[in-house]
Amino acid sequence: MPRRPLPWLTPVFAAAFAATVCLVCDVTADTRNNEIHPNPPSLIVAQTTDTVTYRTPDGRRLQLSKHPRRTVVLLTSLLDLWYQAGGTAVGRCAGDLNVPFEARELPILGTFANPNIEKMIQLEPDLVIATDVGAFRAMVPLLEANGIAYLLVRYVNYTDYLALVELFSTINGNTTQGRRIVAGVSAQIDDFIAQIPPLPQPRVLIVFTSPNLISCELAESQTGEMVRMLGGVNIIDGSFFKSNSRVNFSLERIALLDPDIILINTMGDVDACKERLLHELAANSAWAALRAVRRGRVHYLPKSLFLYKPSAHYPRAFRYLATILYPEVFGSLPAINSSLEAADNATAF
Amino acid sequence: MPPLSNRRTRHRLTILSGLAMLCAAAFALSVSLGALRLPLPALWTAMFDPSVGVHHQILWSIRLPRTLVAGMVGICLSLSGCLLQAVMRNPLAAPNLIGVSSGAGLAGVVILILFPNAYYLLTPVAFAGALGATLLVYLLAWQHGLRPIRLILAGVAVSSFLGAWITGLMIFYPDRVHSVLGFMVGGLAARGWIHVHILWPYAAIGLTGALLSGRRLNLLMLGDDTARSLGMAVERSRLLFIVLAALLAAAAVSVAGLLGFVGLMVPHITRLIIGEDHRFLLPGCALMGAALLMACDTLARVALDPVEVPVGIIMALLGAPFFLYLLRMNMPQR
Repeated sequence: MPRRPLPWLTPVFAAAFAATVCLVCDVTADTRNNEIHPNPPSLIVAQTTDTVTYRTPDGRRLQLSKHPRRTVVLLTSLLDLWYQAGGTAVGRCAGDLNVPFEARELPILGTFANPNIEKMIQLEPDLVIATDVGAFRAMVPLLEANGIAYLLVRYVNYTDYLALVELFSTINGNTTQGRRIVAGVSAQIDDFIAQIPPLPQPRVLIVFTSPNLISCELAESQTGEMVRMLGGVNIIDGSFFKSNSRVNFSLERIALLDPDIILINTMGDVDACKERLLHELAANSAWAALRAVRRGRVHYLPKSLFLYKPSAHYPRAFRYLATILYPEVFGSLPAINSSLEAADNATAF
Repeated sequence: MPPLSNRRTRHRLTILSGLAMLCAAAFALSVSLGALRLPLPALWTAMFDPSVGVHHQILWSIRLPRTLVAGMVGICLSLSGCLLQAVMRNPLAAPNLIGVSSGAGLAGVVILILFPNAYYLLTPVAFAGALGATLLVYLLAWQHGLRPIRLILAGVAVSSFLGAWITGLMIFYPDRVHSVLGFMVGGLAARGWIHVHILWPYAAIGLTGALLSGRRLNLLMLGDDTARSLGMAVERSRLLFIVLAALLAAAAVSVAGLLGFVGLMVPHITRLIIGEDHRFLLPGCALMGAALLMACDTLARVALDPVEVPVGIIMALLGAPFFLYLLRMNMPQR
């Protein structure tokens, strides 16, 4: 006589299924309302002569003392921005890109994912700056216990850059300098945007790493936001997943949407990957049939401008992208490409 | 061994036919569902008429090869698991236990993290890593012959050792972890005809081996001494089956990433349905593995369309409760 399954088994599975559905509904909540703000909302809630009250990425309000003397910055792209906003540091994490010249000899406190907290506390910092992700959030109780102020921020795209320049320069007592930087960068980018022809809008797919993984960047990602600001349409725009700048996307859907341009952000060496990848795309019938591949509009993006945060070099990144999207307006890509790569090598950020 | 004519055998053959139909249904479902939704007649036309354009392209270049890869990965992994469970006489034996997953995993992570320019080498290097780790486990476990328990313990130790390297690389290169995740979870996104060509020889070898080796595996299950007394070369057979299992799993893992669930659970699920006789269990595993993976991959494609869920996650989410359900049912054939 076969035994019946445990009576609670079915309700438990049903509950697990329902929980999964809720989770999916939650993470796929509509995020189409992510318009780019011409003037991004400020992170600064209030300030006095000595303090700044700012809004954290999760909506809380925290107060910081201005003019920190011993700052530790645990992400090199934030370090670049911090120095640009008039700050100095006593320690940083490992990395070569985006390290300002003055900060190159600073003590290294481990990798950004795994900073050495003992070494950091030995430096007696009065402010620790990092991004608002799990590894750094886990550090907060320890920092609080040691009386060290901290600033966890979100730095994903250009909008964040503008808000952070303002916040960092205010903390350093250089509000005017911050405003000048923001105005200068914004003016250059507005100039590119003003030159964009009204129609047709190029339809763009942004792939991360390699076409075999089909991990695609959304509107909120760094490149996604720039494409949108430059009048392009991300073919994966408007779909799913809040708080997620990349998503595994269906190759079938990509074939149906048939983008005009494919942009590829890669971890690898761009020059080393480029030729092989273009050859593979042409050899794979699924990809070769796409309009972008047939017309030779598949572009590898320089890492320093698109994978990492270009910070002060955002105008260059916008210019590069504008050239890809509108070669008829901004000239041919190879000339700009070679000059940009040369500049990248010279500044090595 | 029972003769093929008795009632129980007829029952098992009926179950095998049922599994074959299930497999065919999963294939049909996988080919007909996806981002491109067409009614069946239009689907048929689009599949075989190149003048249909993008629809033909999608069905012929994307969906059909992916379905075939899913089926073959299912066949390879489940046969590999079934062979290993029999050879080791251990219900927890699976491809990851003899180092296949950790070997392929480390090789894959090294390529994706340290040499991202050489991403096109992922499949052959993962294959080599899987076989290399299996060979290492085998050599470490060998001492005047091979005892299953030593092989399992050596497998666990080697897997832990290689796993530490994988984790270490991911910790030291956190900005590159994203590209590794897909491989570690296992998925079939963007698999095409090239992967079909890589896999089909292994699936064919596996299926042939499965049909031919059922009787030998049944003997091996009786214990080494009994098998020897019945004239079987135990060590040689065991080595042969382990090599076959490693080849099957390495081929599957190098194409689909580290799909953990299939090799362990599919043999158990099939055993609960069809019984212990390997003459039926092995072809049953192949059919069940193919059907399950094709069905789960279909779900992975359509559940959150156009977003894709890695099939490894779907397999574990649905397969584990299904397995527990079967376990609780305690099928009367057992």
